[in-house]
Amino acid sequence: MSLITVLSPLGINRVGAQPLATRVRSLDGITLGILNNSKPNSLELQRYLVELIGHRHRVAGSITKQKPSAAIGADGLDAYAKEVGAVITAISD
Amino acid sequence: MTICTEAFIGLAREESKNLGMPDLPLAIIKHPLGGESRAVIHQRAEDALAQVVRGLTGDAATRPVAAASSADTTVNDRFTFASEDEALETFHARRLTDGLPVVLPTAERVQAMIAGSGRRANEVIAVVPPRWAEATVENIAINAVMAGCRPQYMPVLIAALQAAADPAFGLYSVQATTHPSAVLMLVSGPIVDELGLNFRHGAFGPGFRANASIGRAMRLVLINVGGGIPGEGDQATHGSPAKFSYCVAENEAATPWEPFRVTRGFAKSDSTVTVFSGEGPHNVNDHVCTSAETTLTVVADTMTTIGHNNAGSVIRGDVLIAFGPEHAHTVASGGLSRGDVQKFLYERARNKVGLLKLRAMYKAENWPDWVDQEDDEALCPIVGKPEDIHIVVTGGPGKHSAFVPTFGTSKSVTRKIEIRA
Repeated sequence: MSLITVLSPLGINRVGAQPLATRVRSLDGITLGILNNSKPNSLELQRYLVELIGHRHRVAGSITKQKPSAAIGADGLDAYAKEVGAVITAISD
Repeated sequence: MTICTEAFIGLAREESKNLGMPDLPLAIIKHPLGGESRAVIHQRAEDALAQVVRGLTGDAATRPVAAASSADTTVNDRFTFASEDEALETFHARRLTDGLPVVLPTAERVQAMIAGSGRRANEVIAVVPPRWAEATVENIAINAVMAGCRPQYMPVLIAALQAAADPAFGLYSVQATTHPSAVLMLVSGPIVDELGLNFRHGAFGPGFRANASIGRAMRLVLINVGGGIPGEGDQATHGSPAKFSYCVAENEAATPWEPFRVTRGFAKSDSTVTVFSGEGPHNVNDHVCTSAETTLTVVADTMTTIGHNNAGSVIRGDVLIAFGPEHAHTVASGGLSRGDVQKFLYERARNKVGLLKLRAMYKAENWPDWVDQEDDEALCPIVGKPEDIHIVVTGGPGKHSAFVPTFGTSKSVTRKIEIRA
């Protein structure tokens, strides 16, 4: 029987392993970041969530950073990371 | 910490893996968020609370970093089968096709396709999201063989991928969105005749190998290299027939204005391909109008709906008008230049602010600053400036034109098609 050999059409991902952001020991005293992507209801979700967290932890406050569109990457993330201790973001429709 | 609804778990997991963070914690909540009441959204937040707190304070940072980001690095580069039928069934089963049978990419066929590019097999042409995998000349050639291309089509495909990889195009979003955007390729220049690209009857339709196979090859690259698999890396709610194949050519002989490529800054002797994040074409049927103004009014009315993405994401997108030769003749006979047409459509294709506010995707931040958002009777254009309405002539006889809205947060990109010996 003659075999048929074909090439794989898949591409190769060469992105190296990336470390995750360091987690905080406690949310007490932390300024929470809300990185919002402008999708409908997303900001309401994130703000209410931060409010709920505030009922249980002594968070220092929150800073919202608004992306003009879900389809556009946020700029200035390094500076934002210096302002906040942890960030909450969301993907959905 | 990332919150994700159930409908997007697959994309979130794939994307975190593809970006080298397979252990990225996610808080999973019910779908959807859009169109839900405030009470429902608050319940979603309640549901996310414990997961988010755990994710923010958990032990993720102490976990060992994954050795490799993607299973793709371990894929075999060749498959051996007992028969052609077995090979085809395996390609279907592994979701390596668009659902239709393919030409099997044997080494000999792929080698011939690579030769058609005039480039080295391992040259990286683009990195294709959402898998963020490299599209080498060889990868592209394999998918081109599968699509039924001839080797001389390779330069078009390569230029189109280079254009689609331009950040202005936003390929990640075009691939992963729920919107039915496809990658529309518009070819302009001498290569249209050289390759036998159709630009007459059925310019957007089937029946012509060059158009059909180049468009299909692009889609196969987006699926196989980019991971744009429906329900996985491609989250389109409905998708579109345009996602099978979407390659159209300019009918230059019937164009009363300068060729499309010249409007994009290229020489008339050049050949170019322009990519648009296009929905399928929306028909403009006008068998009555005899003047430029009335014809363009019908075109503008077709553009003036609030359901397409450009209606809300005004300043970040562009659109394409594909005039049929007869409509183009009527318009140009009125003495209007391409710029005049763009200005007319920019001024007429506008939606009322009050109507736009009804849209679930209402995004005032993407409207021009000069639009009075407090006045529901104020009119908002669908693009940021007249030049964002691109004009081309294609198609055969008949009183039809086409409006192609786009993803909205995406700009068309043009690349010169380079023929290398």
